[in-house]
Amino acid sequence: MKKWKARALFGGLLILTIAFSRGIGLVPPLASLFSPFSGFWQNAETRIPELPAEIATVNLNNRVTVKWDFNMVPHIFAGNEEDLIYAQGYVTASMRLFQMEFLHRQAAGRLSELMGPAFLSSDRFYRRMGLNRAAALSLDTLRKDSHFYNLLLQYSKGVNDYIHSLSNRDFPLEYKILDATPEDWDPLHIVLIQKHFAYGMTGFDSDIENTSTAAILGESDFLRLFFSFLPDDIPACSPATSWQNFAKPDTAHLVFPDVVLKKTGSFRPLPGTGSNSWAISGRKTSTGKPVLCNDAHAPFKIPGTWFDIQMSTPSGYVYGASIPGMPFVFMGMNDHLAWGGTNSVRDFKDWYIIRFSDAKRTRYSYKGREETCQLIPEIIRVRAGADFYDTVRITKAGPVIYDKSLLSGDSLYHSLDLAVDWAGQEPGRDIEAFYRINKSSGVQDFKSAIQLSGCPGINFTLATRTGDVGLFHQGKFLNHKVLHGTTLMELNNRAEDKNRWIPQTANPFELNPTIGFVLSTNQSPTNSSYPYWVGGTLEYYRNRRIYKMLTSLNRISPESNKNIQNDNYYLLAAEVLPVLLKTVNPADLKKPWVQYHRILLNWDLFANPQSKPMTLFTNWWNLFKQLTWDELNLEIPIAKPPDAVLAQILIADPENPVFDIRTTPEKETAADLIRQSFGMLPAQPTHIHDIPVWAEVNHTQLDYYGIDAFSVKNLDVGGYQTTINMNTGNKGVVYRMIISLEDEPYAWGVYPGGQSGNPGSYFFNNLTESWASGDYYDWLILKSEHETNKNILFEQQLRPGR
Amino acid sequence: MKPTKTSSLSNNSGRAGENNAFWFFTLSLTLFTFLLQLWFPWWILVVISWFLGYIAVPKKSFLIGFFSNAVVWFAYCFLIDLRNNSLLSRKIVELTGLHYVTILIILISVLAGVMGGLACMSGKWIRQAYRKPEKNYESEESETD
Repeated sequence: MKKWKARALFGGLLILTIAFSRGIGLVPPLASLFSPFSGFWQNAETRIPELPAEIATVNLNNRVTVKWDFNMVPHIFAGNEEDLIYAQGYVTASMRLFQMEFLHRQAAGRLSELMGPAFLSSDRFYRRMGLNRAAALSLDTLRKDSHFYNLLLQYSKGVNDYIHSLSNRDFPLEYKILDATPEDWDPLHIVLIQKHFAYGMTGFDSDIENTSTAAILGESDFLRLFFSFLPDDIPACSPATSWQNFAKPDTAHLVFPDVVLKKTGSFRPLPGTGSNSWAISGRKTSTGKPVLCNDAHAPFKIPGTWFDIQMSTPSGYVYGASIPGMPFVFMGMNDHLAWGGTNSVRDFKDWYIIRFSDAKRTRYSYKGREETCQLIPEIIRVRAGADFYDTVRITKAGPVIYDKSLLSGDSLYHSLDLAVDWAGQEPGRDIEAFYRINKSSGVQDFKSAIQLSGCPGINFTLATRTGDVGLFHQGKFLNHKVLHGTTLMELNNRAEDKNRWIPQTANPFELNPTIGFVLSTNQSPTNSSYPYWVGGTLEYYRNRRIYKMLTSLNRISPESNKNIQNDNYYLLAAEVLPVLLKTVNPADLKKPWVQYHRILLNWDLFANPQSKPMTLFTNWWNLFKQLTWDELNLEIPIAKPPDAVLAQILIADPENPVFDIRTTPEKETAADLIRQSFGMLPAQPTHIHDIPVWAEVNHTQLDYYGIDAFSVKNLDVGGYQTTINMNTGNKGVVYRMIISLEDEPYAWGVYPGGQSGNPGSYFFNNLTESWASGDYYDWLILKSEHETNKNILFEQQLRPGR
Repeated sequence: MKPTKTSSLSNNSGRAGENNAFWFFTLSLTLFTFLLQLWFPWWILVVISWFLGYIAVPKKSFLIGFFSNAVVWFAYCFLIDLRNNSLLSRKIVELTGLHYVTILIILISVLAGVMGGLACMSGKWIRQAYRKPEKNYESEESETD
């Protein structure tokens, strides 16, 4: 044997071993990842996960029992609150650790450090938006209450004790693929996750698009087409007599800025996500006891936004949906009451144009005074890349988000610096609100608890076992003058600090109304007598559909509530289709349009997954809209008026000038556009069998961190943008619950995905099928740790000491 | 290479001894590589295979390293996959574009096999290159496995 040969082989072996053990760039260490002993195979769980029956942990005072039920919902029994919250941190981390880390890193702008350069612009955006600064400020506020702060610490200790119990081979799959180690948890991460949630609920706006629309339409049309109260609208709350004490908003008109933007904002949450929630008094239910229903609409994610949990101490229990990374229960029930919520959809975010006067972009004028930006340096660490240095400019109206550097390669912002004033940038005690809600025992407790909930604004629904039902439009809302905040604004339009907020005493609410129920669907919080500007034509269809069903029923059973939550009736189509169809004369039609006409005439108006007429109608309506808003068909970001407004004009005023096509000499009416758009429906397919079913067109899927192979595709669900069962594309109904507050309470729930965040677990995606078909699971409300039930899979003991 | 070595079909006692040694080393390595990987990172398979080659200086060192490690990984992957009902492996297959779980498991086993085989061979070669060769192994120098 030649020495050189032996050396060469040995060297080659060494290089290969090292190469397969270490990641190179973004490529994970392949042998470690593929090894059945340490790699992804270790995340391939058995049908019922093999968890240790007893776990010794450092930071517990007393023993804690965790019973896992047939859906892997943990039921925690602890002797005191500190241990309870510790255990919540521990068990949540054991199911959703990577999701928790992903969310807090996204909020803080620290994803590139973990996942590489692809996330750099997201990180820059979030750092400019300042979720990290807001979280630090909020934490300072929360720290003042040492009892509460201690609970945040307990949760963090629970998460950390779980992390430290793991060896590399036990790490969640994502860490193995990313060749990373879980980061220790900290109360700041909890607040970051609250801010992330707040941004998801309030971060959407169309201000850039509206600026172009307002410039084209002019103020009066803009106001009329986007911000009118519609006939037969049913606001959430009746007006309060105290409102006469508040001044009407200043109607000083807004001067729209003279700018045209060629690109829309990035990293905005999806538009059009809302929720439904209603609470029915015992007078109207089949059991004679109050019922609370809630279905939440949001981006479709897997693992989902929610994590079900029951938490008990000797002084009571709370059961419901928690947010991984945040202690407490967000919506659900306790011994005394049930509560839910929907998005207030108020405007929490205003954009201002900053006109710097110096080349360094630090000086600008504000209300006649020369001001200087505060400059905050940000260092973004990038995995497999160089550190990135950014400077955040903080103006009187908040941080500058878009400038010539953020969207590099775009020449569009070169002349404009846009700063955002987002209410979520203020410190808040929102997390504490949920702690207090979890412990509240009646209407008064609940009302005082929700006062701490500022951003996002939430329409809280409430039902108590003593028979009260209520709805509270709660939040710390910006006080806008009429139209302010709907478009980009010049800086001087910003309200003086003393007038910045609407006093919380003015927030609309409804308690025990005579109709026997309260209902929130993100519709107008109240009627036009409200002394403040609420902005926007809000939800108009789910609202009236549910209201009609609830008023028409008298002894409402859980089954009826399930049917309402899964209702696919397309009210918009029901209202406009008769107008469309009667305008088209079948005698004038050729094949296949005559068939289309007949198909639509026989449609039951439900957007069911197998419906073909739904596909046809949606095509037609979209073509009709395109023709109607021809004046807004421009190659720039531009907002089109809501469907609800167009439908009202179509029904009530078909000669309205909006229907005129500007480029033609004729004066078109709605009828012309209806016929024209119908003719634009494709001549193929000629046979009804070839028209795709609605579920194929609606194309819903649950997204797994943007990775297609792990996402759940082709969900067989119905519904559309404005149906109660709101599912379309990458957003939809992400949670359903029904809680019946009988002496022995019953509750049902379901959500797409499953309790586990591990793609190798049966519980990653076990609920999706039931959810899609409208089925529910019974919540297993355990009264004591000694209770036995066939639906408990296994039990774990956490005990103090090591 | 000696043509007699591969063409010989005679069942003399020396040949049987070689076979026995082959199976003895393969089974021992299978056992040790399995046990050690329960505690140590994957590269322990390289270390243990290398030492086997170095200490035992076996004939067909590559094959011994290859089979022991490939079989351990194959069997363990297969067992996990069975108990997981291929939930995760099907997703990995989709992610990597390999189409079949079987292909994934075979490729992964080949990875372990090649690393183990090269390690075992390297251990032997180093021994042969740096230690004074014993007489009865002299003829092995040109063995290529």
